[in-house]
Amino acid sequence: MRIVVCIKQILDPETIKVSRSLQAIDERTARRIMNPPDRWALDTALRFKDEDPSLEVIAMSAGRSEAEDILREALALGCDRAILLSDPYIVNARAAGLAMVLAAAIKRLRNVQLVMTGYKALDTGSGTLGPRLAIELGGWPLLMNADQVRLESGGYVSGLQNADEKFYASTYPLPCVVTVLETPKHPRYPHGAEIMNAYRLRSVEVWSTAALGLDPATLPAPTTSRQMRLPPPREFGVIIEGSPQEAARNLIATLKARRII
Amino acid sequence: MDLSFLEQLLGPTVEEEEGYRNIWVVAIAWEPHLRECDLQVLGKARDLASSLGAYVNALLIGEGASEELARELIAYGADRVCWGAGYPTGPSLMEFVQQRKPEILLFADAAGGRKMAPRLAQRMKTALVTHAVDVSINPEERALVAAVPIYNGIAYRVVECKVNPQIATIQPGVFPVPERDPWRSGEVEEVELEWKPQPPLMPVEPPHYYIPLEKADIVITGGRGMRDAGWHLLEELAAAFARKYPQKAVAVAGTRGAVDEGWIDRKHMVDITGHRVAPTLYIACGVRGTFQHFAGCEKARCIVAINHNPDAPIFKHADFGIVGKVEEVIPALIEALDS
Ligand SMILES: Cc1cc2nc3c(=O)[nH]c(=O)nc-3n(C[C@H](O)[C@H](O)[C@H](O)COP(=O)(O)OP(=O)(O)OC[C@H]3O[C@@H](n4cnc5c(N)ncnc54)[C@H](O)[C@@H]3O)c2cc1C
Ligand SMILES: Nc1ncnc2c1ncn2[C@@H]1O[C@H](COP(=O)(O)O)[C@@H](O)[C@H]1O
Repeated sequence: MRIVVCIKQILDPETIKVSRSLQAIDERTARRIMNPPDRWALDTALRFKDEDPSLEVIAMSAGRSEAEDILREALALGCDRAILLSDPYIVNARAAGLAMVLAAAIKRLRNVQLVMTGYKALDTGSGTLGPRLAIELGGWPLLMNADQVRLESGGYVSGLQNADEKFYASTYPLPCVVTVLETPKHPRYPHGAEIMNAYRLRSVEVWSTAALGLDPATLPAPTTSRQMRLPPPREFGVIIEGSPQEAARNLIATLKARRII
Repeated sequence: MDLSFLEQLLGPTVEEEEGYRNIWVVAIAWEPHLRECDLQVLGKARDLASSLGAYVNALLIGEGASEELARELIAYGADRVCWGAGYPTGPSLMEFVQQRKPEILLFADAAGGRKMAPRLAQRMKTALVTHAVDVSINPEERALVAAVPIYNGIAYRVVECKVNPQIATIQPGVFPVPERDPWRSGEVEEVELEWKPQPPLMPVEPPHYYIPLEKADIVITGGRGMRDAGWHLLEELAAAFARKYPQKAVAVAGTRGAVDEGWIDRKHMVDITGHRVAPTLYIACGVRGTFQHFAGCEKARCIVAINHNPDAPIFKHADFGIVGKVEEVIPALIEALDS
């Protein structure tokens, strides 16, 4: 049985700079990293593989050629294969088109029983790729925003779904799409030597839309992105003067007067 | 009779323009009551409708749906409500949408809509705008224009929908619940969709580490500046708030720096990649205030900063600041609370 984990390369939110005067995000100094939530999805799949080495875990990413780096990292972590879907259509595609391309690649792999994604991409993401894939794959069940995901005997996957801050125990039959929540448990990171090996000894397969038998002309058109806007800076900012005791008393009194406490 | 005067008065009719018309809101009643988030969406739909000259319709579904709740939606601003008690299958929901041809279709970004909206959008091969925090209409294009947070809220991207139906999910809590007007009139129609058999819902205890920081009324966050004071002071301050205001939920959190120092677990981290909190009161102690951190707490109603460096960026974000050492100011705060 095969498990596909969809991973995305994003700009590290920690390294991008915000320019208020330009009302823009300055990406020049930004690093490209694996979308953090996707690490938990990979980790979950690799845990299944630890328990059952016959499982084949395949990392897949759609995007620019630079995304090869995160796929190498996935190989270093222990994935069996890594596939990069890349061509001019894919680089500009929006969710509806991406889901079609990813689903076509997953179908081409055959015997994929489980597709895992992060619960959302931290850049422009919205957590919709998983549900979209579920439809594109032919209406697979969807275990969404799940924690403690387990493969159950008899061809089921179970987990706790978080919905509106509550958790529900759910079990779905395979094949299934699972979107994985981040949890405090640290996901695995590769060792340096494994990363070097992934570059020296392993290869990332690159597939294009055409190779998947899709015609970009028939794929969905994107929404147009108009502009960026930065949140307004917060208004006031009063420094409360005085000795620590005076300032503390003043602060508490002010908070009470403003009905904040 | 010359009707052109009347037409001018009413503006161009929206009927038959490509067949897509009116704004629809999908409301879900798991239980026999309406959800606040759906009413917020309905209220916003009402605002948008006037700039489009459109009606506001609602589809009310869920096991708790009833004619009575459908009438409630009318009181809150819907012109027509289609309702059915159950949860529709994807194909039947799509068929409904294809028949009724909404120009704009809105969901609350909450349980139900989160799963339903992207799957519907994919079936129809259309775009979907998710967790919009601001929406308006571009009247020339009759297009929904929405602001959506990117990079976890560092900035917003403004997108304009191109294809009908224009589907969006709206972030709960950004728009007010509209006034209820029991005298409003409108039509109620029971619809028969194909309902899907629901597996029983099994609510479970949240995992042990799951602390809904998001739910706290008061969040006290420490940064690297807590080194000399000691982390325990934050716990004591939290305890003082809890003593004084037992009805409020108080939580202690840390910045990435504090987590890296090992003072607090990552699960309590407020940061762009950690928790994003929206308490009434947020007290940042010994926190420098990077924008990554600010992205995690900007929704707080009131931000208080305590830092000994008057130039610390946190003061730019704070509503109230105290320039001083945490080891002196926090005990003074505890005293002020206890007195
Ligand atoms: C606070 C809250 C309250 C809620 N209350 C309700 C409620 O009262 N009623 C309600 O219906 N929903 C409720 N929900 C929603 C519920 O959790 C689902 O999200 C919702 O029912 C949508 O289902 P779905 O989209 O997951 O269905 P899908 O994911 O499309 O369903 C998957 C399909 O797989 C099938 N399936 C699942 N497990 C198995 C199995 N082991 N073997 C064979 N087939 C299987 C199911 O029958 C189903 O047809 C609530 C959610 C929240 C957050
Ligand atoms: N271009 C992509 N390639 C592979 N996986 C992706 C891509 N975009 C999104 N994903 C996956 O889908 C999840 C949700 O993304 P999103 O819907 O964009 O928030 C991410 O956490 C990834 O696991």
